[in-house]
Amino acid sequence: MNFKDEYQKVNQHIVPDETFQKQMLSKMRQMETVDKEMVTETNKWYQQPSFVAICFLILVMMVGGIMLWGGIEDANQQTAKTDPFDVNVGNMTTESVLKNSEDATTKEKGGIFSPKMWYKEDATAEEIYQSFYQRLSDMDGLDTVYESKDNDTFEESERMLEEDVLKLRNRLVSGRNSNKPYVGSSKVYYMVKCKDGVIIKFEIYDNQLLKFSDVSTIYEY
Amino acid sequence: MGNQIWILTPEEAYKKYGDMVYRLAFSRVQNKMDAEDITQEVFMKYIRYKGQFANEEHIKAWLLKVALNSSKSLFSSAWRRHYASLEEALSSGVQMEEKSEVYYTVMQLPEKYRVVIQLYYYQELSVAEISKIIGKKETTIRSQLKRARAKLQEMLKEGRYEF
Repeated sequence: MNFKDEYQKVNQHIVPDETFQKQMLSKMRQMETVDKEMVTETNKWYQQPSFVAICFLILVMMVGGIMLWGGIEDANQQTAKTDPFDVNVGNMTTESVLKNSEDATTKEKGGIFSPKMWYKEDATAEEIYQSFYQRLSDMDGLDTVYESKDNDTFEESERMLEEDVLKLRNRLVSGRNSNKPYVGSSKVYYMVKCKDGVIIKFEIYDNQLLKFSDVSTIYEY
Repeated sequence: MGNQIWILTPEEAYKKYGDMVYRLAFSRVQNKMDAEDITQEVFMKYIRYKGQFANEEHIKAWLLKVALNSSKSLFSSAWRRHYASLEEALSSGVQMEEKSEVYYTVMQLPEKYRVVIQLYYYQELSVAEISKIIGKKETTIRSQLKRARAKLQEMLKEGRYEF
């Protein structure tokens, strides 16, 4: 007997209850109608922003921008006075980051997934690291952080406690300040799930180097 | 929602892929009620999805991935206390033929093997497609399939089924 044929045959009998099916179909129809109504509603003139309102907004933004410009200039001057960023980000060269961005974009265009980028396409390695570090520092924005010895599997038991996330963050901070990267015992993989749907995987390896292992695995659904 | 241009309207999508999503969810959670919850959640996400699908294959892959993710969340949620036994699930929730040895045996496999068996033998997806949906390397999927087959051969009467 062929296993596949038998398995497919049996699967045909795995169906939801008739009541459930009816409820679902009715819900789907209902949602579709609501969707159409919403489209019609948004096409009405009072739902459309007028040309004058848009011009006014642009004007306000321009004035605001000019007023803020002085402040930003000051802030930039102060930043320039501080020491340059000196964390060792390992293999995360600008080239590799751009390549990964291309991979992700390719998947977005023709593939199954819709990657959500958490940094600008033209960001430098330093900017990407800073963006990553900010996410790790924002405990409210974090959903779950996993620590695993396996790049593929992040089990529930490998979920990190809040205090361990803080320790990890502190290790990365001291790496930045002292330019002495984190020294661990072996290769460790991390997966950071943020509440806005971004998932970042990275690894600490060779006892010292931090590397974003696969930027193209940043998905949302 | 909003200005969504549907390749498949929610109703069409449910009619076409509702059973597929339910079966995948059931193979994972082994529980009728949870499988229905997951199915409902998946299609609500489909309605709310703001992106555009390229074609029906894209929709199918998206639904499978969301179904897997939703069942993962269910596994990890604290309120999941009413886990029914396999026997209970099969007897109460599924109208099945008398000869359900194959399905029953698959359901006894560890969860990660059940999912690849379902996607490979029922959905007839390739290893590459499964790898994209599950988010694991192709080599990992191949080895999971190999181990699942070995276990099935061991559990089912030897030589009775060809894989």
